[in-house]
Amino acid sequence: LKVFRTIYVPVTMATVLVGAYGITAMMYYSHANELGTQQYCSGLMIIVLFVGLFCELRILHAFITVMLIILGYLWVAIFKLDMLRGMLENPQFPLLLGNFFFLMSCAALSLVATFLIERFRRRSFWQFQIIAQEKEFAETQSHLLKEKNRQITDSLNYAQRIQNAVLPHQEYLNKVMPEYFVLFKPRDIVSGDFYWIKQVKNYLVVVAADCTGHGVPGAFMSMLGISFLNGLIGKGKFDKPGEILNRLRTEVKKTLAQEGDYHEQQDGMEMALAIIDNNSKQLQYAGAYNPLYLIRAKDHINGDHIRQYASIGNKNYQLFELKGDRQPIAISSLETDFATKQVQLKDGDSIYLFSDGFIDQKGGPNSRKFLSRNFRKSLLEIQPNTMEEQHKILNDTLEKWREGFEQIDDILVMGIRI
Amino acid sequence: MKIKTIHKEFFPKFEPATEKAFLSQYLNKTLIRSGIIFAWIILAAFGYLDQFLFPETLRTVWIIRFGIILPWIAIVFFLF
Repeated sequence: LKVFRTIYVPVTMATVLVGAYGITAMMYYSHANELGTQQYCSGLMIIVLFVGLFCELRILHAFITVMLIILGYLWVAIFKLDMLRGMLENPQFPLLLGNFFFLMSCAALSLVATFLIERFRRRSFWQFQIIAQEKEFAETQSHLLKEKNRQITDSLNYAQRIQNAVLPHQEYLNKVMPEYFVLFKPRDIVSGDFYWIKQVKNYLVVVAADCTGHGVPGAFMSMLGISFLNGLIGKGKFDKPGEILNRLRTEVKKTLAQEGDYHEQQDGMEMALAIIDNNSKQLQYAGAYNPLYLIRAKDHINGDHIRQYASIGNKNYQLFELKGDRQPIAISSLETDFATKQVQLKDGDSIYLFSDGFIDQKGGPNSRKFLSRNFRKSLLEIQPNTMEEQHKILNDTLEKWREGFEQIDDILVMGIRI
Repeated sequence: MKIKTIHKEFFPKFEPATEKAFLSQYLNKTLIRSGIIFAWIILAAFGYLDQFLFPETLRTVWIIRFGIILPWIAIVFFLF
């Protein structure tokens, strides 16, 4: 191929000239009375056009070749065929002038074609080079992104191990709760939702929290929340749930320097905190937005106190909703003390603490949120099942609902059977 | 590779490195060979016309056409 490229221009020019001079030679050796002597100039015109269209010569080489053809013809026409004298003697028959004009026109067309073809191919080549360059750049960026993504994922996986280490271990949960489940599904490896459970004397403290954001920022907040709860409850003495939330809010505000305009400081958490007295079966609850659901068999319901929390029910079970206060564990516009609600539990009761991840999950045929109403119905339907079965059913319900949709938030649902 | 185009000039040219790359892929062998075959056929076909246009010098004309031009083009075809 290298040899071909080296010899291409001279050989092609030589070949075209052999063809053109061959035709000119035919005219040269022919007799003046033969038709071909005058007609074969057309052959030269075809060759001149051929140079522009097929020969792939650079414009300079094409120009030289075409000019040599025309000069060759003019030399034969003037000096051998005596066409100039013939034309001057008989101006009504300007054959030489006519042929010259046609040849020059063909030469002009041929050179324009050569120029345009080269220009077009240069442009194509240039665009191809640009695309190749951009492709190379994109591949490099893609490689870098993959590498960064791998590093970040490794980092998150390691962070997840740390987060899992500070969440209550299963052995401990099995020890302090006879029947329970925790449906915990972080959206981005690490979670902004967290649960915290501690047995202090005869009290079981249960917390389900949802920190602002998800992923890394949510996980940072959750670590803060767990740390504060360890400080507030872990020493064997604690207040009522409402007071614990008050103190927690003070800690969060102090640590995150939340002062001044609350609109600019959205970091905080929503939380449901329940304390169950294992001896008296008394439930104390306080919430920052997050409610607590209590489900009781209808034939166990008596007394008016519990009825004030009644929500929906089915044939056998009634769901009671203990609503949280409408203020976060963070700075807010109208800060009031968190209220503590108290309910007497009965054997067989189920309580549920959760974040809004399950309820807000988009999915289903109309791409809408799961909603509290459906969540409550689902909980009522699964009451005959054990807590372990409830975990599986809720998980399957969620997966079926969000089929084809991304998980939009961290998901936490905790259920405890008394 | 930095690409500098000079499209607006009458004789377009890239910067030297790009120009070398361009020239190395400029020649389209298929088009050239097709052109050679096309030219050979046309020139051979006109040989038939020679007997009417050059009745007196047909021998000379055919020597030029079939003895010089067409063999040369055939050689070039196999050369490429």
